[in-house]
Amino acid sequence: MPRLPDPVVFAIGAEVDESRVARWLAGAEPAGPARTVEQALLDTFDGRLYRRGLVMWREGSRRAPSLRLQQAGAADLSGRVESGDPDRILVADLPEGVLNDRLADLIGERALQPRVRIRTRTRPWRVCNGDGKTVVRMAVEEPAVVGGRGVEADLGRRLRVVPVLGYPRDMERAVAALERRLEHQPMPLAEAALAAAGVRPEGVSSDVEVPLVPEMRADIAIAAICRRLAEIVDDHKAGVVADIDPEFLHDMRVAVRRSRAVLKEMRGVLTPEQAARARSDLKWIQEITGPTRDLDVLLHEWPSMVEPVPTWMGPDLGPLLDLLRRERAEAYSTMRRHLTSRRFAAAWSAWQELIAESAPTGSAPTGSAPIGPSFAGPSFAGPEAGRPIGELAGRRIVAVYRSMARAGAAIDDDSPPEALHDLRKRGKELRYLLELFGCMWPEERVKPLVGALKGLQDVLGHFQDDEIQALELRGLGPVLAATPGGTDSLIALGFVIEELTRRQHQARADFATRFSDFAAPANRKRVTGTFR
Amino acid sequence: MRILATYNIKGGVGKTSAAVNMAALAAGQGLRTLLWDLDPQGAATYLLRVKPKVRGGVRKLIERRSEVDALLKGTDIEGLDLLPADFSYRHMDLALGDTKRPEARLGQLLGPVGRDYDLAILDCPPSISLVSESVFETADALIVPLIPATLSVRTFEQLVRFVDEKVADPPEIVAFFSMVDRRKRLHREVVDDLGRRYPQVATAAIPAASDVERMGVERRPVVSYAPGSPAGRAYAALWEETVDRLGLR
Repeated sequence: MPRLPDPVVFAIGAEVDESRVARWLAGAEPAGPARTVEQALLDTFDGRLYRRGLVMWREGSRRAPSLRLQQAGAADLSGRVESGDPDRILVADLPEGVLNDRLADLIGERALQPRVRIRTRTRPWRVCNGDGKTVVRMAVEEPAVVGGRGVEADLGRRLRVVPVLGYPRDMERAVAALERRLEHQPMPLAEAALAAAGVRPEGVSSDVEVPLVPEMRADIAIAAICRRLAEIVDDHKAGVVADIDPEFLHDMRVAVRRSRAVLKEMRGVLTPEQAARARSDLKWIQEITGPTRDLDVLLHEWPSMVEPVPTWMGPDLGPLLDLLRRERAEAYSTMRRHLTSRRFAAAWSAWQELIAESAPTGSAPTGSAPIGPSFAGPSFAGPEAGRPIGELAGRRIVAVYRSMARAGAAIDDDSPPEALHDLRKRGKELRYLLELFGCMWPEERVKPLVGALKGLQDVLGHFQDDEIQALELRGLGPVLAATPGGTDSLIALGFVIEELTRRQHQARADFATRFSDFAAPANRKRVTGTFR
Repeated sequence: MRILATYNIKGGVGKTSAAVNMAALAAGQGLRTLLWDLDPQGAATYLLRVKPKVRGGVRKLIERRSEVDALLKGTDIEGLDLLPADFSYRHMDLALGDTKRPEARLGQLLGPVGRDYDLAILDCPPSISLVSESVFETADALIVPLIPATLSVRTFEQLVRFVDEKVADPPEIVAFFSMVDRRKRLHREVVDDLGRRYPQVATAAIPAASDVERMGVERRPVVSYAPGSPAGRAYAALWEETVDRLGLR
């Protein structure tokens, strides 16, 4: 609908009888019986709607709930969800149209989940003109946060005054009359509900953002980073186990991979014995979560992968897609079993114990202040534990960059794919070093390097992902052949693999350009001039 | 935005009643709905209690010197807005005739609000003129009320032929019987005969009922004040059938 001014909400005490409103406003009358509305405020786990100033309400029956998206400066958007789980709404569940258009890119693969539930008793009122036409809508609302045990917090009585399109003066008159008697409600309903329920509106972030200074002891800095990464794993594990959306697993795996990179690059900070168990446990966690993630990526890429398949062969892909979904379900089930196993619990608690702060040791290490008031260090006892983190991280950034520059320069058209895969692996390590430790150097020095590295990693990522996906799909051939309709599906599969191979060739062709940007003299100088 | 138009060359056959009730039902189902009362008599505008006034009149509107969204009025039904009638619409033909592509003009006028609504319903005046030709070009479907009389069969056949032959991208047609009195044999025969011969004719039919006539007194759609009445149920059935036939869901 065309943009209307936002509703005006007044706080209206319990002592104010509704009929008094009728006396304050000429033409005001009840517009229907009171009713009770159940609503859930939806957002993604990482608060993507909140961060964009959007508020999404789910209302109505659970079988076909309606969604209403409120956005400042624009008309509300609404739509009805007729598929999927109402507590886990994905883009694919949103009806086609404006709501889908507005949210698809923003939420991506994330699910919309209830952050807080409210129950509102609402009695509609209206102001009519001489023709009996509604020119202002109003509602006396009594919202409350509800949980498993019923009402948990009363959110205060409100009088909501809503303009009607084409009648701005009537709205102005009504608001002016009410302002003489009532105070504006200071907090929007969504915000008040979140605050009352103790829910962080910004959601749970996967950002690491541990403040560091170059003089800080390496063991303290590394432990703080690892603790933050472990916190991210803890935050996301429940969502992975409940299979809420693929981003939970992605973020959890990135946190584990970053932890492994830290252990590898900062190996002198821990003793070899300390590092060995941690590296083996984290590697295992990465391995048990890998197959599900690979299949998530494959299913996400599916629409673009099957684009070159002739339209008339489209239905032949059905058995293949079904098979992929079954494989994914099996992989998830295995992963879930591992994640809830005793082995996982033991590995994770050993890791947390290793990175935990130990009792204060006495003298405060230089530059440890940003981490917090405690000067307690971890029990890391490697030879470089006491070295300043700036020196150590800078040295590793230069070394990894140089090793990548050397390895990349040696790659030519005849190099085996493994050479590119190895380079990608090193690239990830460099990226993590820059992301985790880059805050110690001026942003204008670090950012261009991250940009060039990202360009290179994108190409290397495509090269490797396309290969893995082609191999994975090929591996399904024998199973597919044995399923009904499998032969036709195999023919269609040929088109998909051909497309993946074409893309991989393209990525390989793009490699030289991206690598020369990354290894350009300006970047070499930037690296040695900044981090050494 | 999908565009429907209630149309019949004859007057008094139930176009406005259908337009208003279908618009109310659409809004009730959550579709952001716009009703444009193109009839200078302004019956739909009256029924929705809005003043039949368009600032600047028809010429300014057709010459696109008025912003359409500034002329819209919210109605008593949430989710339903109205572009009201104006008595100057009686000159809409002349105003359209002075434009370069008159048949495309109504669609152009609706363009700017196309993202704001899921559905527009045009309530057309009874005539065949430049206005109706522009409606035929703009609408995705014509909703055609027919009274169960022999002559209206002829009118319907003329309309189908005209739309097929003269309209570049012809709209779909959903016809329905209106003011049906099943006690009358002629009504029953005409309804059954045309329903058999033309797939465009909907199964749902609106009965001749005092509840429909009462709209003028209530100044609300039947589906608002008597949803459970035979007429209210008939409009609901007609709307559901229209939704299914046109894939509006």
